[in-house]
Amino acid sequence: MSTRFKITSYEIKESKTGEKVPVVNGIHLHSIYNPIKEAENFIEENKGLLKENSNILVLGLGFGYHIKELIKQLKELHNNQFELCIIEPIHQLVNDSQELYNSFENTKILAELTIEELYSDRTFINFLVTKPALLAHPSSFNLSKSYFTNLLKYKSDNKLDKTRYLLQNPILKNIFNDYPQELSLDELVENKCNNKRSIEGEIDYIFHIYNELSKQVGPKEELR
Amino acid sequence: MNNTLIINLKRNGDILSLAHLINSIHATSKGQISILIFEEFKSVAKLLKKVTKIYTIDRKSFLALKKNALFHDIFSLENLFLDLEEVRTQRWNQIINTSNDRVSSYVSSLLGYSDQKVIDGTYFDKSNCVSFSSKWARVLNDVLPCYKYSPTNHVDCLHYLIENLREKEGQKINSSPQHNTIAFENINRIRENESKMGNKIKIIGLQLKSSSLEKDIPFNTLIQLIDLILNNPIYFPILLIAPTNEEREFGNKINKYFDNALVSVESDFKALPSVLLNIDLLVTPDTVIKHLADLLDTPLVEVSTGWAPFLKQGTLNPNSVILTERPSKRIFNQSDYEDSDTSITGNDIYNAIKCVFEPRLDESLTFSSNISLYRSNEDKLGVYYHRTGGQKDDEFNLALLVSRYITFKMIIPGYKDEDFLSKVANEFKYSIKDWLNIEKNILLDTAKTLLSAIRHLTTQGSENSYEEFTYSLDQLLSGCENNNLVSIALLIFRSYIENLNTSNARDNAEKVEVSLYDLKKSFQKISLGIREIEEAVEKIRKNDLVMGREKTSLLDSRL
Repeated sequence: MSTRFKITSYEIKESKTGEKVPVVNGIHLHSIYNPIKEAENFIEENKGLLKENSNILVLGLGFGYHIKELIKQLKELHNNQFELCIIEPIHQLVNDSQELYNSFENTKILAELTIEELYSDRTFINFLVTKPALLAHPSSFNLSKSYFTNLLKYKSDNKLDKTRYLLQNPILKNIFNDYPQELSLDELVENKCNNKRSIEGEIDYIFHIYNELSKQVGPKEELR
Repeated sequence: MNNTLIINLKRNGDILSLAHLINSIHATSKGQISILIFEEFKSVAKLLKKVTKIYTIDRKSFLALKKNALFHDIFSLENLFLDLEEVRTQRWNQIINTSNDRVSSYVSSLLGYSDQKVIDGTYFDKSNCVSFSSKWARVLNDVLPCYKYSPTNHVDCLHYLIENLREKEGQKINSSPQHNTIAFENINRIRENESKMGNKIKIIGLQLKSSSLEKDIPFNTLIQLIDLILNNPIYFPILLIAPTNEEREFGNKINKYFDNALVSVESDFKALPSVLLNIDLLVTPDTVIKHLADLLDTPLVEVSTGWAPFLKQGTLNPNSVILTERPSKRIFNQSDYEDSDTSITGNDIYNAIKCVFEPRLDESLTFSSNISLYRSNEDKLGVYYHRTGGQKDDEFNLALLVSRYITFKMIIPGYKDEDFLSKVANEFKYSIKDWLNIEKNILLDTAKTLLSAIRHLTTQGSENSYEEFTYSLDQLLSGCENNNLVSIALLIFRSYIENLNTSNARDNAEKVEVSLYDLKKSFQKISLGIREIEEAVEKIRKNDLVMGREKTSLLDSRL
């Protein structure tokens, strides 16, 4: 899962309408006839999804023709209140389409990261928490099918020795140095909250708050 | 400068209700007041005036990170830590926990930990047991949510908790000048148009939905009500709609019924105060907008349905009314509540509207059978509620007033209120005797169980006495659900028992014994309270008798 994408062949062709079209491992990532028209159709087909969602996670950059159309559409629907995050496992594509994507607004491109790296990336996590809609660029998805499937099926490992390094706050980092690393966070919290009654320090209260909040479900959205 | 933090990890309505408390604290201390809430309710919290800073816990993000297998749990912990760190690193002179839940109690303890700060409300002590700052904290957390006859209003109880008087003067809500202008211009245009036809109209805002189905005014009732309003030339309805698809669709459905001739006003929380300030009356189910209208002094008709105790957070505005099915027949308990449409009709709501504009109509207008009208009133203890129209319900009203008196009697040493006694004796002189007898019998039976529990606890040693003790304790606690006067004392007692530290049996036995003796004292105070009421009734009856005899003598002499 952690291995990077393997490229066996990479070339750039020109479409009938004059745009550059990358061909990776024999797969054309855009229409060889008219990539812009293809992008327009692709976005039109997904207009319903875009109406309901202003944050979109896009699987596959290619040379970004669909992204350009997507931004145009989102601007129309949500003014400037939208966010895009694009996952592209092939770094070469990002390099070669730089001219195009430099003009992308409200867009973050995460390229050539392993699945573990992605799920350790705060920007990516914070974006996912906003519950974005998912839009897969069909030919990019087909090309990197196992990468994107693994991305969507990922299950986090919560053992402290695997995740402690993700902490950024120095106080928390220090506190977690003292705990048995073979435990998962839930096991640690359970030990703290169920097996020991008295409170020994402020962190114990934080574990209790964490424990109690974990039992909650979010409220029904209120009306205004 | 005094630095106060108010914690409330509940929902929009409870957060808005804090405006009263904030206003009162501000009037007395002039210090800085901050609040800690869940992030998802921030747009409502921004309406609160006199708040220096709003701290938040981002529960939505926390739950999204915690509940989804994609994410490492450590992120949810760190986000929570950072949210709390911001408020933990401030120095607070006063921490007030106004919500009755475990999260807020742990948060209170965390914030008071480093400098041993006194917390008002509930918190966890260092042995991880729930502690209550006073008996009012127990009433707030354990009596008000369960007891059918809310013995105090929630807002008053928050004030008792911090021993502060409720300040009525002063603005409590922020409204946007820009929205005020727009709302004034738009609503005034309606007034002017109607006045051209010779009508000086009253604008009636209709809140269409609440946050739960069982509280909503049914569609057909709304249609009937709007029809009646439209037939009165001096009333003008407007539909109040939140910017959600669900409300828009419901508003459209209603409007379609009237050939799209109705005026709808869509407003978010920022604009809503401006709309409420410009209408004459609001009709609403029990939802957040009710609290907002109250804080802006906009009169309202609250249509009370569902299982939540209907007077616990009732309107504080004496010009407003609450419409309810006969309260003694209502079920204020979620588990026993059976969902069914309310029998309150559009005509009942229409009559309640008329009562708001002309209070003298309360008793003369006819409501459907089993429908009652309530208003708030105020005495030196705070707000209380009384029936002013519709179906009489002596049993409920008596229980309401006496529960309030008994609660104060249990908590405030030497409390006696002659004004209350003569009021209750006068109002219920014919029906009170039977009711008091029932309550006295229940008190007597429960006292026997209490004495049995004390006897078996103090003679512990044999297995038999332990069984007898637990049996008596179970019997006592079962009385919590019965909504009798003793239930108030039992609910307070239960809050002691439920929060014992289970790790130390000897310590527990001592605490249980103390709680049982405390319960005994409460029973004595209930008994004293009942006796005071009986004496007051006796006094009134004697007076009536003397007056009756005087009248007879006068009649004799005249004849």
